[in-house]
Amino acid sequence: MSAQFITDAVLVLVILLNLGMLASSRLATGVKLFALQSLLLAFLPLAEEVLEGQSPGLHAFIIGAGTLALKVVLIPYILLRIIRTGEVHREVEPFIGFTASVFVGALLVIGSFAVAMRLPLPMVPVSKLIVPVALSTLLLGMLTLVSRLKAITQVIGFLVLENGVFILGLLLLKQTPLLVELGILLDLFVGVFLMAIVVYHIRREFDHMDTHLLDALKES
Amino acid sequence: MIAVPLTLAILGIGVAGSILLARKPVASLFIALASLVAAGVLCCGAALRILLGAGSVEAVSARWPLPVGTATLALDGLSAWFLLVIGVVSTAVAVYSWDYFRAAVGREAVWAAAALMNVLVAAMVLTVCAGDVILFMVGWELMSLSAFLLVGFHHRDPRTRRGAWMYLIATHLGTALGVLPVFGAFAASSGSTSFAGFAGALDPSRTTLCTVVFFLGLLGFGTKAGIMPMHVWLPEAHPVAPSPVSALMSGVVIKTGIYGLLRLITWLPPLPRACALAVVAVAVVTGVMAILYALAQRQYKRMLAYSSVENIGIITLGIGLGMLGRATHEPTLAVLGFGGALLHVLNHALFKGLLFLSAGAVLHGTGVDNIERLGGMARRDPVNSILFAVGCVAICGLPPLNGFVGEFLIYSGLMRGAGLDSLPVATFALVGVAGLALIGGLALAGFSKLFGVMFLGEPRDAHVHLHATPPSMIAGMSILALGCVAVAIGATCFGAFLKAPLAAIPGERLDAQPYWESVSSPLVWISAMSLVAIVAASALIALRRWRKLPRPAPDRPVTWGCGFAAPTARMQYTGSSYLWKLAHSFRGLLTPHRHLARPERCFASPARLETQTQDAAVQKGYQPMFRAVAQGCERLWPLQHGRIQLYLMYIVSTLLIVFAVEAWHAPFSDGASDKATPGNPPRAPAAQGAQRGGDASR
Repeated sequence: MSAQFITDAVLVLVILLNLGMLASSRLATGVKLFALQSLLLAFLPLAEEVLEGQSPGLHAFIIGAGTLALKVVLIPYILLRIIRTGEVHREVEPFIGFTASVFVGALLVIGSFAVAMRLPLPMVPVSKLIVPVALSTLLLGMLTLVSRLKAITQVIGFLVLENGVFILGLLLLKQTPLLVELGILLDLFVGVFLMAIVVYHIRREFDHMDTHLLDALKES
Repeated sequence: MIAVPLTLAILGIGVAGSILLARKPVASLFIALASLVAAGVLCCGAALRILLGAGSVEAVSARWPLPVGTATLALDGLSAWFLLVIGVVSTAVAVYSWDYFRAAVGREAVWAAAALMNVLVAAMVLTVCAGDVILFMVGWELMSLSAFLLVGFHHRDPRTRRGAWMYLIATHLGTALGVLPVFGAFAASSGSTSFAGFAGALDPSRTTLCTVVFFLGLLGFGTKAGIMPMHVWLPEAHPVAPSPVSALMSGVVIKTGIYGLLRLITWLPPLPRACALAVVAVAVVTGVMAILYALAQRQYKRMLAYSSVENIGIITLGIGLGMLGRATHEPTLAVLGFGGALLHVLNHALFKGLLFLSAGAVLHGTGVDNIERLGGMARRDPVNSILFAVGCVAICGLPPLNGFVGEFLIYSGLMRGAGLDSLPVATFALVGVAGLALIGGLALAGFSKLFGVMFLGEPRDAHVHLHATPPSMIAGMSILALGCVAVAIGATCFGAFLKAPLAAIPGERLDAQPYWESVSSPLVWISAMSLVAIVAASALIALRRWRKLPRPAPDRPVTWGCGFAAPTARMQYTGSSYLWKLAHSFRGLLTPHRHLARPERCFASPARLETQTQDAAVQKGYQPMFRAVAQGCERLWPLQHGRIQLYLMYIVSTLLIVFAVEAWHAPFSDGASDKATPGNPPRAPAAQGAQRGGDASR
């Protein structure tokens, strides 16, 4: 079992988890699947360095630890708490149904593989799967954002999208300064924190957390 | 050259100090205005050093945390001339503002106005001293934004908000449609963003390109300057701004547009004659139409704003004449035209600054902005009325004050152009002379109305009270009034002063100097003669007073009482009736709206007559245009659902399309991107080894 094989297996698992999130209607399941996905991703930077025949550096270590602390522990904890305190546990009547969204998601995965084969890259990636997996994670996150109604699901969509960006960032691990990566993590944390507060207030004001009722302010 | 960064640093201290001391408004105001005065004096000093040192170019560069070269501040003759104007006016305005804003302490956010004035002046200094595009645009935009905030200072009044927005929209449209394309054209052909490389960057044989670039510049910089038909923001924004701000804007902010235009001309090769003639035509139309609109105004600050447009027309006429000189290779015309324009820039800054400050003192004292409700102010506030009179005489171009000097140079240049051996040039020069004469006559009518109705006669409204003008305001105005006199007296020296700015505009200058001297000697004669006449007349009046005194004056008759037994203040001339004949004879151009309700029955029933003159450029040009744009935008309403998911959908689909295009057509692949940025150093080796993902996978 080589490091190459492990990396590829992790990336395939990431896609499967994405599709799993699309298929699940329970909010808590979605959050847990996201935590699992992030856990897998947190070890990728280390695996990549090992793959290139170096001993794992401080840079990769810090990124991994930060991801672990933030995306596996803290953010899921916040989200699960919101879900527990609220009455809403399920996503009902999304714009695109669960089966249909898995189907669309699969199409998007195929599309991103097709595009990734043709994209010009600054360097040869460690694994050929990195770019297509990153793109499909991005697109599936966006699909979640577009097709779901509940505010929590939208937060999950945003987080998945960010995971896609993270995978893409693995390509450039050597070139990206540590500060930038940490900045992204901090942004993410602040973003989720704010969204949690907003969701809390939406629920307190309106007794639900559907976002489709927020269009009352529309012009005309 | 250390002076310019030092000025900027002082102004920065002023901004920081006034913001930090915002809780103590008087201290905050003091520190901001003190730094403004210091910076203004420093600007004048730096500018004079260059102007007297015969045009040495000084520059200072600093590293810049942007990937576009270095930040360069350069000070040549042209910059120095505008720096002088900025220095003089901002010093006077700062002195004036002390008492003006101190009266508003506690009611308004005075510290904000003081800090923003520092920002505005710093931005203008940056604009005229910038040596590359990025720094120029930073200054230019900072100037627009700070001026926008200053115009909107009394933002609770909807008219103020309207004026401020109009200014912001106009200046940004001009920047986007005119200024940026011009800089883009130069940067593309010279391969750098530094102004030093712009001169001669465009190939002189490509006349069409040069012409298009010039007229784009005229559009962009003309919007800032207020050349018709881009002038519409001036009469909206200037009256609603606090008066010191109006003085700064009318005195110097609009002059940065002229600076941009002149700077553009220094980079361009001599343009064909038709371009110069077109500029002359635009200038004459601007001047004549603006002064006609000025005549029809009842708000005095609005009238002053229109008069600024008129003076921009005179300056543009000078520029057009200078361009004609470059096109026909007549150095005399070029020197007289550009020289006259530059001198008028200084003059207009002095007297229009003075007039706006003086009008501000009236507004400050009475709270009334309509001339028809004022009257008899000369007796109640004599100092301010003398200062206002000085400004009026100067702006009408009457000797011996400074307005005469600049216009005389342009006149003599036009006359010289009329003598050239070419029918179209001579025709346009004569049209210019006629236009300038018409502008002068109409300005005289307009300003005699303004002064007569506001300051002479009897108070028209008993409810209007007036308090005397405070000392610092008088001091500020006196600086500008003394400047008006000094320029007139020193008119002969300006040949030497203008040498450096004129040297910045390329072209041969051989036989111009003797002609310049031959022009300036009658100037001195005319000024001296009129000074003698004025002194003699005042001596005679003094003698007469002295002989008649003491004289019993039992009951002074009402001015313009016409010997009527029971005269009232309502019998006086109003501003409109004074100019009715003139306005009536130009009704074809002005197209005033009349609402007339005649008395109908035998015993006089109530009757009323209202006339209103609206700007044709707004009525026939901008309003229909913007309405059409708004209607076009309404068609896009179906896209606006107010649903987050749909907005995200738009983003996702855009992204997908971009992906697909990149993947299958690769418009942004390596070859194209390397061609687009020739100036960049070769990238890291990793990028050199770049290959497309598809190739790698095969």
